[in-house]
Amino acid sequence: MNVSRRDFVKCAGVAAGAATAFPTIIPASVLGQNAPSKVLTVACVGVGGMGLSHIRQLVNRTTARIVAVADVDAFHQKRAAQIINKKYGNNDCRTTGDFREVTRAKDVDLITVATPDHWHAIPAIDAIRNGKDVFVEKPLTLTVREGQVLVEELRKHKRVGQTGTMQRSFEGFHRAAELIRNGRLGTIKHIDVLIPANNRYVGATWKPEPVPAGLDYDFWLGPAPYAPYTSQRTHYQFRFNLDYAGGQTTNWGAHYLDIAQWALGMDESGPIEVDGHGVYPSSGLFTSPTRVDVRYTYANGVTMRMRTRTDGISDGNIIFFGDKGSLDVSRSKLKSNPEAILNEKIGDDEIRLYKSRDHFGNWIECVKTRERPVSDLAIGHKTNNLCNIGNIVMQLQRKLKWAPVKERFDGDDMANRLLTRAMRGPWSLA
Amino acid sequence: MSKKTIVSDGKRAASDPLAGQTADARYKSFNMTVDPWSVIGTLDYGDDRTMVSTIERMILDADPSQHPGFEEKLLKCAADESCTEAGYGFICRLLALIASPKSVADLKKNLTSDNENIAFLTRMAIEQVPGEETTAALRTAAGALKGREAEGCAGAVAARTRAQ
Repeated sequence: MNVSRRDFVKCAGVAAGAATAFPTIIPASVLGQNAPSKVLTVACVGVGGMGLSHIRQLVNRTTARIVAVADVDAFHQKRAAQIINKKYGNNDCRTTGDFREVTRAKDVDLITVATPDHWHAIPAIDAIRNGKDVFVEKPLTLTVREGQVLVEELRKHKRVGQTGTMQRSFEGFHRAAELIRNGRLGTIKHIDVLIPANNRYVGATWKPEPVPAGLDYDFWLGPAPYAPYTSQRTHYQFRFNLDYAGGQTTNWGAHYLDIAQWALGMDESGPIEVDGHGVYPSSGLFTSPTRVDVRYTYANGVTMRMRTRTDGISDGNIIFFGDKGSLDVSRSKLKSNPEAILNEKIGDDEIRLYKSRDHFGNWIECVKTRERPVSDLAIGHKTNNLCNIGNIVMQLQRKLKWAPVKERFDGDDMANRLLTRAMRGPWSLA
Repeated sequence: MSKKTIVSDGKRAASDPLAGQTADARYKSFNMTVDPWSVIGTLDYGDDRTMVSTIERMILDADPSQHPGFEEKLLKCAADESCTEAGYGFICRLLALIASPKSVADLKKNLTSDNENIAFLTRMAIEQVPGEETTAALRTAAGALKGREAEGCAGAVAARTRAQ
């Protein structure tokens, strides 16, 4: 159906009337993703540190426009809206403390989620069920079960979902994965992954503190068990408490294990055995391991070891060892041994991996084409499984057999119970 | 040369409460370490978790044949009327790993506690116990509860059904 500019504006008026005043930008959902304006409306859920990064990635684009932000911290809401309004030269950005006001808003096409990890799945699923396409930060979900439900809902509602594992859109990682997939290192034998150590520490005890004005702390806790407020619990530090995240195993593992999965061609599968040991704080507020050491074994015999690095570098890196050479890649380097491997050309008849050089741009493009993005949620979920089973094996300190397609451990009831968690009401995966 | 073990006591910092004490006194202090099972029920938010983390490690390392014994001990701690909320939470986290239908039978009355935190922690302890008894207990509680835990409990029943 061809839609004239006049009809488009008329339809838009109906939509705008149903939603909060929003006179100029029309959600693509009104007329489909091929609407004349092709400007997709976005709401950002969680606008603290990573959420601001999302805003900076989106606010300069002509293909999308941020119309609302949601955050349980009023300070975050205000700060984000100021940045957005300043850029657009107006005061139109809506703010709310309840994500449901944007995931269910009729004038929103896209939702980005950059909340703490225990709050990834619920708003993303709610958005998908309400017809939105989603960009969900890594690590994709807190548990394996959350990831399963998220992917099921994505497919059921035919939505486009990108995981925030943006290294797939970096040239160096793409080049490394493509060289490996085309056998330039020969047969891969082993992979070493180094991730940074925890960068925040607290003592053996902590004291409850008054909740700061503007923070809806109960909403911040959400599905997690009740615990009194203390400043070290929230915002950046949530990463080191297993009630809300998985420590550096998931924070950095989500990036580098993702590259291993890609290079091995394991996006729909994973390892079959996992073993490991973590050093856990026996007291204090933080509960994630301060040192991690996890070993994965794939069905084809490839082994992979992920460890905490001790050189103080705040980046990970991954080294692939094959029978014809090795390749070391991080955000700042791409090295091979022998060096000539990096000069190899990939022929037209060889395996070419999905090419993206702009992670948000790839997502928005896929929203329009309805293709799967480079880090489709199903891929992010499989990678996230490696992170989560790594945490489980370190906690249990015994070798576990993993069924990567069925996503269950073989013969260990306790390990399988750790694949999911109870959610504090009213929240659930139902 | 004496065959007795020599324990040097001349190198301790002045601030060390054991500085200057005889070896016997110091050995006695080792025996004063509290029983970690008696600490669980006194745990408060923010307290040192060192002693209770010992129990956590014992349970994580245990052979499945030992789980019923640990479950019994945890349920006994949970039933103590003086047990703190934080202590009850710690117990429920551990029960979530090993709980059997016995935990469901013992704890289901707490699913409808007036204290929403206790109600949720109880659900956390038993939600993953397979079987109809658990589903029935959760369904009954969802019908009796009001407020956020009513929705949480109903959602848990739906999530169990979906997972199956």
